[in-house]
Amino acid sequence: MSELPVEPGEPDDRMEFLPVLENLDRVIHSPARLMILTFLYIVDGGDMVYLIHQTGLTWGNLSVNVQKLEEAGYVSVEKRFVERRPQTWVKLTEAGRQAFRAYRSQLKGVLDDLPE
Amino acid sequence: MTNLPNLSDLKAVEKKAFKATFEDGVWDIYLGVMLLPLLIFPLVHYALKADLTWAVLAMMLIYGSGLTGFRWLKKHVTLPRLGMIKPGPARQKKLHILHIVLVVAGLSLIVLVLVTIFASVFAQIAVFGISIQTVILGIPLVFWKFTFLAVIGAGLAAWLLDFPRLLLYGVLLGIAIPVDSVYFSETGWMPLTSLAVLLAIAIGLVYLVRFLKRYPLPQMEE
Repeated sequence: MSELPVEPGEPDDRMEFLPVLENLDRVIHSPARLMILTFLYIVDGGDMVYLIHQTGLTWGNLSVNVQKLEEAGYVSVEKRFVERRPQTWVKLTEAGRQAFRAYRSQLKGVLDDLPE
Repeated sequence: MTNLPNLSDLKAVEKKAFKATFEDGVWDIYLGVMLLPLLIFPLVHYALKADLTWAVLAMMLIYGSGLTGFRWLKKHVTLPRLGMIKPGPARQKKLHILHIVLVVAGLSLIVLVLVTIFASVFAQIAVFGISIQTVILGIPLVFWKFTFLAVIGAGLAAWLLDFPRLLLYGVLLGIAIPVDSVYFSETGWMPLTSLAVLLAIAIGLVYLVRFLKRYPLPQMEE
C-alpha cells in the first residue's frame, strides 16, 4: 500500500478523524452489540426472540452481549412470565440511547470526512 | 449469520423490522375470512331462503372462528418466531392514527349499511314526487360510496401499517361491491367478492407456508 506524500510540518487533514476513532465507545463498538443497540433503538423494548430474529445471533452470543450492555448501563433486562411462559424483556436505557446517538454521530462524522 | 443494520437509515431499519409482522400471512387469511360473510349472508338468506336469524348466526360463527383463529396463529405461530416488541414513539403515533381511521371507517360503514337497510322503510314515502329512499340512497351512488370507503380506508391503513397488500384487497373489494350487487340480483352469485376472498386467503396461506420455512423456532435457553 502506497502512502500519499505529506509535506513536513504541514498538518495532515486526513488523519483528523483518528482521535475520534480512538474515543469511540468500546462497549458499542462491536458488531454484535451495535446490532443489539440499533434494533433496540428503533423500538420501545423487545424480547430476546425479537433480538435473535433481527440480529441473527445465537442465544448464547446474544445473552453475553446483552449482559455486557446491561453492565454498562445501556440496557435494562427484565425476566418475567407472560401467559406462563418465561420472557426476557430488554429495553434501552436513557444512557444507552444517548450513547448510541453519540456513537452514531461520531462514526458518521468520521465516515463523511473520509476522502473518496 | 448476522444482520448488521444500516446505521445511516434507521427509519428503513424500523420499517423492515415492523413489516416482518405481515410476513406470516395471518392478516391476509383473517381479512379473507372476515369478508366471507359477504358471500355467506346472501347465500344463506336469499339463495337458500333461510330465516334472517340463521343468516346472522352463520355470520357470527364465521366472525368468531376468524377472530379465534387469528389470535391462535399470532400467539402460537408468529410470536414464538418473531418475538414481541413495544413499538417506538413514531410507530405508536401511526398506530393511534390507524385506530382513528378504523373507527371512522367502521362507523361510516355502519351508517351506510343502516341507511341501505332502513331506506326501504321510506320507499313508499315521497316528497314533491321524489321517493325518500331515492334521496337517501342516491342509487346507484351508494355502492360507489362503499367503494370510496373501501379504497380510502384500505389505502390509509396500508400506508400507516406499511402493509401494501391491504390496498389491493381494498381496491378489489371496492370494485366487487358495486359490480356484484348488480350481478347478484341477476344470477345469485358474487364472482368478484368471491375472487377477493379467495385471493386474500390464498395469498395468506402462501405467505404462512413461506414464513414457517423462513423462520424456524429459535433455539431458546430460558
